Amino acid sequence: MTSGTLTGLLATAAAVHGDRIAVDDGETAMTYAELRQSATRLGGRLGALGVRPGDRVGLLLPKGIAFVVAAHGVLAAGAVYVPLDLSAPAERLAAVLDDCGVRAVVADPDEADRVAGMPVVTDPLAAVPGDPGVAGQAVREPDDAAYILYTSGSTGRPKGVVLSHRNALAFVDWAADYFAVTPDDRIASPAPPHFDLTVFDLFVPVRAGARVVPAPPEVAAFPVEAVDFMREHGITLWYAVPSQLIMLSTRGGLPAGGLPALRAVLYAGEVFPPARLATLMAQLDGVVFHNLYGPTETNVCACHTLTGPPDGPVPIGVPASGAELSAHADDGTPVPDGAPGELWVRGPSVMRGYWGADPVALHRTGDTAWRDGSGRWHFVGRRDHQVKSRGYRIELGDVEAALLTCPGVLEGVVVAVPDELITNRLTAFVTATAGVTAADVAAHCARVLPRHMAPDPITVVDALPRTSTGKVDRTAVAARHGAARNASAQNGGDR
Amino acid sequence: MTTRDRIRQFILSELNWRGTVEELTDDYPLIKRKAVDSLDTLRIATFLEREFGVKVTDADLTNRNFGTIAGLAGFVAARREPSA
Repeated sequence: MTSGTLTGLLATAAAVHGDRIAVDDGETAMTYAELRQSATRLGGRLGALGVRPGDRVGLLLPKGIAFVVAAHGVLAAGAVYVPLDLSAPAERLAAVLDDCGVRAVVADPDEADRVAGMPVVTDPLAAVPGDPGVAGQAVREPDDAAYILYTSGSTGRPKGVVLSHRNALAFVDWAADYFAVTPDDRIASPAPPHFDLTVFDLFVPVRAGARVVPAPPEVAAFPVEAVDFMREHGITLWYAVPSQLIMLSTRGGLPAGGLPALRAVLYAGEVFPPARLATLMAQLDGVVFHNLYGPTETNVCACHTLTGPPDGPVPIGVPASGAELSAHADDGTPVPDGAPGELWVRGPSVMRGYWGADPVALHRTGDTAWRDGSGRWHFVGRRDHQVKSRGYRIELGDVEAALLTCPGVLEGVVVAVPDELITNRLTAFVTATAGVTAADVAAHCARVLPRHMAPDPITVVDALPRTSTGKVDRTAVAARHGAARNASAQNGGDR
Repeated sequence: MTTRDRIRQFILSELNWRGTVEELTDDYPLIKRKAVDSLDTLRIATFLEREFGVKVTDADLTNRNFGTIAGLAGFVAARREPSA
């Protein structure tokens, strides 16, 4: 057993809370002793398939008990888990598998055909006759990689964020303490496995001997099912992106006092429009709301706990997970309190680096923020062409690069049109050879981009406006789009 | 065109379908594979109301009704029946 690792975390939970329920999906429940045993057994099976410590193992599973066992099982093998996006088209999936050299995959039985030609385990919970059973755990060190999360890259290829056991535990330890998690807590998040929010429901319960209830995909898709799920399972801590919470508020049919067990809602990933947040807080009277901030590269590095409904923008708060935050001018010099600058983050939760690149000592977030006199941080916006949509961070250049790989497309520009529900709508304008339609381009994007990066709508135009230097004039494109929308609204067209 | 085919056509043409036409079977798990997300379900609801004249409430937005094309068609059929 190694302390300071995620495998050590589970071993400790199995020793201290062995008879407590670790994971429960409503059909199957598993104690911490059973979870550790299943994970160790799966680790042994992966080893028998040729997986060695440090190897990467993909997880192509929806959130569920199998996913929880699979993640711990990969770690038990001393390997690095790589959660894969179930909605990713084949090319994107192949790019991720290739980028970090995935050696084997734990897959849902329905998805196994998508990773043909690679060792695949489709029954991670099974005790296969003749398997190595409870072979000794591969010992890892705190600075070894634990998992890789893929995010939008600036080169058109997915970029792997490598996080160590130490990185994960910096967040897990902070969160278990800050949210005062106890063995009585029941924790859930509708975020999909490849989203960094999932680090919370996967590991924070383990630190505290609490229970994770893995939220299946339908809970993320249907607000009414989310409310039923939270009520049925007595969820006490819920972690989601604002767009999901807005749906909960507007379409979940939240009854007054209908979620008596719920004590805290955590949100992250996007700015929560204050009026929407105030409405949800009124619906969930007595529940404490926390705004968590941090890119995938740093996990949560700041947190603000609301003491009442917001009457303006919500701060991102004070440093978390042992992070140090600072704001810098373009030349790298620190700026004083009150002045906006690029937010830099150092500390134990900051990633080891991107896969295949040099290690980093700090992460420059690309976000502009400022610190007030009381030490609280406030988010201003993005500095570059990255935007947030549906809680995902998207490099507009990546989407544009994908447009240009579509046969017949000559130029493409993507602008982010503010949208209250999904933060930004990716709106594409392309020029193309005769006969190429918007539907052709949309079909191409669906083949090469994950769902959250696919532009919608796409418009084929005769020409794109230019700046004096000949570059596409994004401001003019955006203005033209706004004008077009207003015109269609005046004409009474709804779509 | 059958109800199922009309719904299939809508998903193919309006919802950024990322597979082949053949893959979008009546029983394809739309939610499990994230072929549609929560915003898409609202667009499907609007489509059902417009195309088939049925009323869709928030409480109808469930995996049972919206999880597959077969489920959607079943939902439409049930709503069109005059209540017994």
